[in-house]
Amino acid sequence: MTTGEILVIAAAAAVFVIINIIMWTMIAKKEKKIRERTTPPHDINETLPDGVMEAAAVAGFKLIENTVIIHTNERIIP
Amino acid sequence: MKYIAACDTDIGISKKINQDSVCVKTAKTSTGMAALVMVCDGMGGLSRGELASAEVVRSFADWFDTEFPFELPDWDWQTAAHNVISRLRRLNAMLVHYGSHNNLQLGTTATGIIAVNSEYMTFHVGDSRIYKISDKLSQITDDHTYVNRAVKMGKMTPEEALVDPRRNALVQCIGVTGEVAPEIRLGTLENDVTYMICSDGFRHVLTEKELFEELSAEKTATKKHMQSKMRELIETVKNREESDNITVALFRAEL
Repeated sequence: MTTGEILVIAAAAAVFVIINIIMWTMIAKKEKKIRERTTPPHDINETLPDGVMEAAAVAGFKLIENTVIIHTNERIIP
Repeated sequence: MKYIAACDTDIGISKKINQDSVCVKTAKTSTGMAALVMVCDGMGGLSRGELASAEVVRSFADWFDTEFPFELPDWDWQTAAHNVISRLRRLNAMLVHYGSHNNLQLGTTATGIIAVNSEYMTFHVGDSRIYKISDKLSQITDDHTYVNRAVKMGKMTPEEALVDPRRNALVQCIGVTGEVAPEIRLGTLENDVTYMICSDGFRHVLTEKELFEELSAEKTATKKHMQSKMRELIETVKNREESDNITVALFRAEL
């Protein structure tokens, strides 16, 4: 292999690496932007206390009928 | 005192997804009984109606499980009404924010009953309905539609409203408009009176006579009877080629 050929291969490899770096930087930026846009700000996030059992114990509260029908597992409120 | 409640929902014959959500919860408390029964109709035509209706139902269901028991000892209907309005407004702001930041359109109606012992409160935004079925059938919610408002203002006759192309257009629902003004009513439960909450898909092709006759207290004496009547009517609705999702819930107190 001549020096010229080695240089061409090295240049091609360098270009490949640079293109990859640019491409993945762009993808990461886009993903970050999407994450920011799909997470509601804290001031409108609802915080619900945990622990149905605890609530039940407090007020002599016993669920009799408990049916909740929804058609997605996706959440807006985390 | 006993509460009887049940619900049913169906995707219908045309849609690829059921955008409606429904919740029926009853509980024994230290002072008697309590219930939450609600229907949310995720907006047809809007891209994520099922997400909107699910979030609203989950919010109320979680409240009933975790916060409501602590509120019961000092239960006061004025405070409860204020809290329900605040919750609906918070949910509206959250859905509007989510939609605008994700280029999505998502919205839902929110209509339900909260009962504590022999008293109840209805809350309502949109065009789902609550009917009271006693010795007659009466609609106890107002449709928040453009045509209904026009009829009330005397700008349109009820007959014109039935065929107006804007008859399904809502003047308010959760997740679309910047502000919502939920309709709240307080009342007292009575024996042999059934409350029916339904999405528009359930009632479009059924007559008031059919609703009254099929969902009377005699024909829905037990939860099992309620479920079978609701399923029967849903099948009738589908046979009549209603294109929307179909959701209904029934609630009755035996005092």
